[in-house]
Amino acid sequence: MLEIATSSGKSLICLKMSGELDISTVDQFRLSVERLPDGLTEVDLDFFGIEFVDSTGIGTLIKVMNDLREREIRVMVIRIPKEIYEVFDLLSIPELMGEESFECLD
Amino acid sequence: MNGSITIAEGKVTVVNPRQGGRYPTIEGSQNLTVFVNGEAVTEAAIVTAEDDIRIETQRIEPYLEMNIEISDDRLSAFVVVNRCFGREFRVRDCPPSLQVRVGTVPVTEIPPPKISPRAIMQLLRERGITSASEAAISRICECDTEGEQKVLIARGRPAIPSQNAVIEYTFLEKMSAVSSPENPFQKPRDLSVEVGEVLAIKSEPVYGTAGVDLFGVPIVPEPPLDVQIIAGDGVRLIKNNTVAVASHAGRPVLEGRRRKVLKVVPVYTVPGDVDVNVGNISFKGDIIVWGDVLERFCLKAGRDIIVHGNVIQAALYAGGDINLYKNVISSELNAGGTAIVCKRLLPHLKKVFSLIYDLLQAVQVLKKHHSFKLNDLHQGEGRLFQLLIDTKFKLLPKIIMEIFGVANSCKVPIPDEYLRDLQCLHQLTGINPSKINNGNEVLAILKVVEGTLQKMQEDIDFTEPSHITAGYAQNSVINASGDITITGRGAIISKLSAGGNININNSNAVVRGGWLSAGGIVNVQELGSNADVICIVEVNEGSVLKARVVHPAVTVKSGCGKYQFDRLSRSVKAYIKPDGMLEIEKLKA
Repeated sequence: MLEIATSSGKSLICLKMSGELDISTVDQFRLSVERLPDGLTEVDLDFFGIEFVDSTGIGTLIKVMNDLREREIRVMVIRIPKEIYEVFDLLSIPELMGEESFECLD
Repeated sequence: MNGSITIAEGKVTVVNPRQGGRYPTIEGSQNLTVFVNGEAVTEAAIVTAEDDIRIETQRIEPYLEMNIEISDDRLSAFVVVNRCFGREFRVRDCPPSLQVRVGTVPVTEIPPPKISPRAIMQLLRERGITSASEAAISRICECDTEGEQKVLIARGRPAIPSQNAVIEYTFLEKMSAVSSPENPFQKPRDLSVEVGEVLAIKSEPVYGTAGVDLFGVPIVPEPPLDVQIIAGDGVRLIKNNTVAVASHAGRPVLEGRRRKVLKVVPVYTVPGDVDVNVGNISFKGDIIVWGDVLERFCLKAGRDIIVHGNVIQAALYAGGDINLYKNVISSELNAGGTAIVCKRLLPHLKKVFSLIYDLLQAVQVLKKHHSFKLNDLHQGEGRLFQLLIDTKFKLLPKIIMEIFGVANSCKVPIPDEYLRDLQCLHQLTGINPSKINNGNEVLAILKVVEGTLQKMQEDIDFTEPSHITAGYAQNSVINASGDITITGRGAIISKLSAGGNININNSNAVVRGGWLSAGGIVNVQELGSNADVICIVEVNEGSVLKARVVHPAVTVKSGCGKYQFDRLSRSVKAYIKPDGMLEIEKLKA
């Protein structure tokens, strides 16, 4: 189960995500991102409430980030819980997508 | 007037001093004791005429010692006798003197008792030796001189060692007999053999004869080693496999590093040039061309290629050596067949092995992570493998594609076995990883890669390196699994790659431009030119560049960086230090 709360601004939107980013919730995540209005310059994906991920969830995250970048929208994954960041690190996701786009909670 | 002591025939006479003179002194020495008034004197003692002085001489008893010495191989026994004569002394006469040290004179020598044959035999028996040389016993018994005497008294019978079987390769003797090191460019040697010609003769192993040691224990010689003549193509064994003869005409060769196989390689001879009248040649044995290999023609030989003329805009591929008596211009030479490809593929394949191993490890770690869910892996683990290969292991498909690139672009045929094995690597490229069901499939790929690596390494290790020799090279590509030797003026804008050494070190040889890479030593006389032509030498771990003169703009490349010469240098040596850094030693020209 995944809950996504959107806090909107003019050019920046933050998607506060909580629950599980996995095969059962990736469509919901993708849809949320696709529905974002045009004219944005930055999207923050707040992972504070994410408890679990799976390979489909991570694959979708990479795809979403690449899609947003193609639309010239800066994307940041913020407040990543340490355990989730460990998984990202095992897959070298920050290295692949740019360390500066990932912000881990200490 | 002083007093005095006189000794005559053992009698001591003391005269007291007069008118304030000094009293005499007496002391003993070796082999005697002086008693003054019944007390033994240990140092010089003052005596008077009234004293009772007595001298007692000593007697030394004779000494005899006899021992048995046995050699380490238990085949020889010696009697060692030490004899020391006994002695009797008398007191030496002494004229009247104030200070007297009494000396002795030997009067009799007493020999030790004679050794009896019985005593010798008794000693030998005690050591477990039952027989002895009578002559030696007599010599010991009759000896009457002082000192050490060592006599060989008994001997065992040594074993006669076995003789191993030996193969005499008669054709090798013939080859060395006709070689002429003075002028390698003269008319080449004819090393071919005719049908029925003897190539090798085996001498049968001979068993040795047992011996016996001093104590009667038999000494059994090691059994002889037998060897067999291993006959390959073109060779027939006769006379109970002890003689090898040629079953067809050709060039005899002895192949293999450990297991020597005798073969007769067929020889294809082109009496003149390789041109439109001859066409391209592909032959399993040797190819000998007495003229030139002309533009756009290609020679492929399973064994050696020998060209007595020039090679001009042509391509030569040999499983064995390539010997060009003249020059190679705008051409490609490849010697070593599969070994060359294996050497190129091996580093890539090692990297792939390491990456697949790490991939499997990463899957295991992820699967155990408490924040990583496995819900989407019920249908198969492909998603996870795909994700890892798309992210952490992006290099893996890239290197796999490079392997196929090398294999497909290679003009030397790669064994089907390798190509078949390598096909499994496609499962780790593109979207194929998503079709993987579980880690066992990847483990199977890892095992195939490991096996292929082993086979390739053996191919390299157990195949004799193939060498290339040419007079002069210009604008050419030369690859050899062994050494490349340019015997003439040098190499101009050519790419040379050798598994062994590169030798371009004639006194007037130059390397003007191009690219050199060797597994061993790159030995050149002059490298580069004052026209700043691009000249690159690749130095890897274990290889060394040695050059007498290096011009500016020459670049030495290694895995950890490169160095470009900015001035004329001499006595240059470049190599990789143990810490992995490139080291350049040079002197100013």
